Amino acid sequence: MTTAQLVSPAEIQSALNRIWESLETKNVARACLFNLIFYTQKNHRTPYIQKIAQKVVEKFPSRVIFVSVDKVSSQDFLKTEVSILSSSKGEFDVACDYIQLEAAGAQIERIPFIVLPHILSDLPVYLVWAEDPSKDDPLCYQLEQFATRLIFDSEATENLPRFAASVLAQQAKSHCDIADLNWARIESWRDMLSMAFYSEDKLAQVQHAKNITITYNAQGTSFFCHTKIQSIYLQAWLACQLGWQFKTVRTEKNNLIFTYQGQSNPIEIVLTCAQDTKLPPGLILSVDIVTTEEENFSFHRHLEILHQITYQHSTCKQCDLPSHYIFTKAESGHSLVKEICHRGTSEHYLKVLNLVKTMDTLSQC
Amino acid sequence: MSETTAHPLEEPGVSSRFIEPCVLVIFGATGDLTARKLFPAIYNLCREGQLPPQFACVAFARRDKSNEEFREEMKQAINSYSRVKPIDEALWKNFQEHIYYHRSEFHDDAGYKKLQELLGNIDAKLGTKGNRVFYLSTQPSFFPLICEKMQTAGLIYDATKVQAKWSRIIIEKPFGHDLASANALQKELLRFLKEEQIYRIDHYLGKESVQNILVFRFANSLFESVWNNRYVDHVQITVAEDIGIGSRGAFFEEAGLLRDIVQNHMMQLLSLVAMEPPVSLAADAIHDEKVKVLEAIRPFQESDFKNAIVRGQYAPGYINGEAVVGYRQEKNVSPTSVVETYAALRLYIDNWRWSGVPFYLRGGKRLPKKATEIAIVFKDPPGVLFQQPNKRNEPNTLSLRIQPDEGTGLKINCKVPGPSSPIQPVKMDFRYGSYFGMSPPEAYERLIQDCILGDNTLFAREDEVFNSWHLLTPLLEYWAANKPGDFPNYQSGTWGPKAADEMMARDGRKWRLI
Repeated sequence: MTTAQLVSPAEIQSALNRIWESLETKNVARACLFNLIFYTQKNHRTPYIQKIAQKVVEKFPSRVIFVSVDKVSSQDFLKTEVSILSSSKGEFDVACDYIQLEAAGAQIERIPFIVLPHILSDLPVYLVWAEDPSKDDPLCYQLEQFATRLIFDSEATENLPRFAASVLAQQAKSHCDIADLNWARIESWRDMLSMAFYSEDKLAQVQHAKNITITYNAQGTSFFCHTKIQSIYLQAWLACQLGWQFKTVRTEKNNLIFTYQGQSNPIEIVLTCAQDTKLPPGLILSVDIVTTEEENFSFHRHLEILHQITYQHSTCKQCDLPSHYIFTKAESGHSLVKEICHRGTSEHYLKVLNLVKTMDTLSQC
Repeated sequence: MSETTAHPLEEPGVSSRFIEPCVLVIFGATGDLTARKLFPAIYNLCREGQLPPQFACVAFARRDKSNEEFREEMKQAINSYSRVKPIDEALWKNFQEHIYYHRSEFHDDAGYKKLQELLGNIDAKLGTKGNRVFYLSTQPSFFPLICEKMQTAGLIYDATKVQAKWSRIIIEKPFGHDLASANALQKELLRFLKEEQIYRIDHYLGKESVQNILVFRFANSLFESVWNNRYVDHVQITVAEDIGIGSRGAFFEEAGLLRDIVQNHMMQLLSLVAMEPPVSLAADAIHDEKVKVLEAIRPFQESDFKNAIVRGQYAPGYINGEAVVGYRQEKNVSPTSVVETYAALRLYIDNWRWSGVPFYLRGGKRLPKKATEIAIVFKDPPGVLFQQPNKRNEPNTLSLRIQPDEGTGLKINCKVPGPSSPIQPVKMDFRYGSYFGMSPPEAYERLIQDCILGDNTLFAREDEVFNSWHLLTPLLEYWAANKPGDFPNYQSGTWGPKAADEMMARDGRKWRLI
């Protein structure tokens, strides 16, 4: 990354041009796959969001416009910086534009007018709204006008059912596709369970599950503290897709317990927490499924090789040898890249949101 | 699950494709291909979660080796040839447990019986469910023998009777050495297999940039509307290699460039670039359209052998400034060899779309650089405006670069800034590497995965192979009967024989300088 240059909004493009001219002899190729706009309020999460931006452009070079607003400051200010983000590939670098806008007070309303002229034409515009959409923010409406895809991070919400309702409302009125980083973070689990229960007999078995236990890492950090959400999404996805009717959700000790009614039997899903400071917060560590026929399907993440899942099937009479699934390596920023790649809004995700928004008790969880 | 029933946990267009458990058996596993391509591909599929957990690989070969020795060799191979290096030790630790070495001669019945036992044990241990992919990475002469032995040992299932499990065979090129031998080989294989069990691999089809040809053509109305004889002057397909024949002297003396590159890779590229839109993306729909193109290629006339075809053989020269030997000085090559290492052909496709448009194909060894591309050269606009004295404007050219530096370039004419109006060609360029910033999967990764999935879209169907041989066999026969008197006729490091340039000049055209 080149050193950020402080410039006036009117000089953004010319400053970028100057930087690129200075790099002409340095074997750096300018690339841009799409426009990637981040919006966040300036707080302890901002460096985390910036790190995600860096990770994304390493995979997909794009023009990043990073907007952070300071809602606490009593001053009015607008700071504009430009630099070049590099994917650091050695002798032949691929790099892209990075525009950072920071504003406070009355200057915040200028943001959309600075973003708009710097969107590169003919390329998709992905807006990562790293704030809680249930909190009204006029900037969201203004920036969303330009976006082809609106990406939320449910990690930013204090109240998941309200978040779900807000996103669904947004989706109903918006012209653009909707995505959620936490939904993307469990994509590998969804894929794997879909494969594990692909055959008709296996599908019938999971449909007759009676107990499911999902274990997740509840050890949060200062920027990632809503560690249950991925597990809540995963259990809700299973319930929606397998046609289970939601009954109750309650907290017992540290566990979150959901009950559903299946086609012929009740189902209890327990989200249980583990504490591990070395693992990413919220990471799902295992899924154990027990059916009414006392068949066990257990999927356990290798705690040192995080992308490896050990799968074992057993019954009262027989225990199969374990086998291994491999997740595509889950790096930070990788889930966002996956979301960007997907076309359209996930129908499965919308179903999950429709279910989650009815789980009022979750707002206190 | 049947194809028509939606699986509740699967989201169309989002979920990964379901890959069934299986065992991949590689015959001739101690060869170069296994180390350089197959194992790096299998490892990368595993690394990216694209293999089922119930997967194993059995290496079948004649040399004495233990499981451990073979695993160690493959580990070294992956570290040398994989697109992602170094190997992930933790991943490898588990993965290597799924790799087995089985020593046997190809003709030894007992070896196949033992293989059957080994596969049965793997099924029981790993849950691979009896599904098999057999990769024949051997000399083609062994194909029928291996299939026969496998059938006798019960390794190949009758696809019409056995539904619960499947067996498929991947066959490396060349499929025959002319039309008659291809027909004979096919007949032999059909004694043991159904056509849908045979996967004829042409690794070019697994390349992302080749798959992009159809996307480029049929997902962009801009180009498809001018993709015909009203707008296209001619098409050039180039498969150039800067390397010589290396250690493949014995093979090349038998094959020559026409069989090695033109009959398969170049004809596949030609059919993809010239085909009509298929009715769907189903494998047969695409194969059908490719076959129609091959069937529509005008057969060679006697005069074409002299005027529309050029063959060449490289002499000593320089590649990147380094002196290199000529073909006749290569190892296992006759000092009086008349085998071609270069070929240039002009073809016509006699159908509605391409009537009158020449397709120029050239391929060769020891050319100045490694480059595969398809260039669509458009007709000049009416010459009323912007004529320059004594200078013809460059034609618009759309180039699809297959390798290396995969991408697309469009050459257009542009006014040079200033009061006078000289016109200069400029290039709009799209490069996969800089745009997507990631290394695309290797061709073999995609093709092995597709075979496990039972998708033969990217493999050559029998009628594609036969039509290609049908076109080229008369040329091979003519060449066999009329030995060249001027070999070697191009210096290594040049773009081929002068006769190839003269052929183009006679048509008022020239080869692109790539």
